[in-house]
Amino acid sequence: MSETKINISKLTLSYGKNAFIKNLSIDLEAPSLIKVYGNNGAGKTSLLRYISGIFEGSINEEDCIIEASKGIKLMDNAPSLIEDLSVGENIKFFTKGMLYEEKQQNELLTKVGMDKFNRDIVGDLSSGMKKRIETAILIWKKPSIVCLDEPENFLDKDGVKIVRHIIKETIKSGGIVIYSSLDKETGDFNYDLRIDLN
Amino acid sequence: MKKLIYHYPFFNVLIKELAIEKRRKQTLLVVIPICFAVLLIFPLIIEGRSFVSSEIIGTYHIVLSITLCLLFATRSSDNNFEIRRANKLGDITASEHFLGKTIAEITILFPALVIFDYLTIALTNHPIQSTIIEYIIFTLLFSICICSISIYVNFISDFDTKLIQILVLSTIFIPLGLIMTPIWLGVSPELTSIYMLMFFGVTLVLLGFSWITNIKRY
Repeated sequence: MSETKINISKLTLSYGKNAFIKNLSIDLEAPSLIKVYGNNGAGKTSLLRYISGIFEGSINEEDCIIEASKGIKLMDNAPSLIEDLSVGENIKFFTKGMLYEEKQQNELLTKVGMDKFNRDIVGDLSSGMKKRIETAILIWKKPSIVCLDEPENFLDKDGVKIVRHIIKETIKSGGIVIYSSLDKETGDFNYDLRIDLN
Repeated sequence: MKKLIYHYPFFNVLIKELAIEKRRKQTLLVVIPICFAVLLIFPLIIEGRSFVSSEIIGTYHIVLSITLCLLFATRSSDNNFEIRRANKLGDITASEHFLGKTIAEITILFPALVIFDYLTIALTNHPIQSTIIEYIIFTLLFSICICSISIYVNFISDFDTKLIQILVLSTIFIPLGLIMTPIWLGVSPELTSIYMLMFFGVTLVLLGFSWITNIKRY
């Protein structure tokens, strides 16, 4: 039996009295690729934050079983990085000191084309560059469940390729990828499930 | 260091917080200079001369210590959600975060208080009336109390203005400042020990309260 699975039934998410996701049920086993799409305010980000365990609104659910042996990671639409630290210090923090040496950090950053910016302060970088650093952390962490919230925003063609590489690698290693987007076009991927939040 | 972070993950948070403080330099370049300016101006306002009489040195020290602690506690706002999101990405648990954060804050505040007290002694010509050991214990306990409250208020509240935060914090800091008076007024050793014991109890209560509520709220 697969170690990675998502089993949610009759989920309702709301901020105050306004429920934007009502009675949503998801039953998935790895490897799976899911697309969540909907207009602005449909609840894509909230659903991904709920699955990642950082949703701050009201939650009403009948059942929720999320199993991920290597953890769940979210690439939010706003960066999770620490703005006051340098790129290298961020890598050091998010890898729990495993990539302590600058050489080790550069090896990882080379994969996302950011090795020249190791000593730069994250707050001074562009949104696309911050997103690349986050993808580098995701590449290193190899989580079982990856939630990507509109990941292609701010990224150039090479950046999009890196995100696609993460998706392929996660599926290949038997994980689940949840990909949110504004449009319902499938693009290059064959999705196992498509959730329309409109 | 790598092994230290691996075996004790709170070191990761501690190093991060110290690196942020090192970069921002808020305590060293903003908080202490402001308090130093107040230290110079305060006697002129109160007594109309650059001299602090021994009758008001206790009050003088309490007011300025509280000013320093208020500036320290409100120097940066913690965004509850951003902390949780970053910790989620970095696999940092709530207890690791708060332990690292508390130690980092104490590491920054304690030397700041010592520097400030040194300046107070130098500028007012009123030495501390206790032994160095007592002074260190009192100041350390005071730092722990201030940091616990500061982290608690920053984490649980989403105050829009610093003014409300300052009002809430000052009501808690004033009684804590009062317990610090023996080191400046010079009371008997027995009374100092009683104060110290009382302060130790208060510190444990505040630290425990802050710790439990922060982790529950996380």
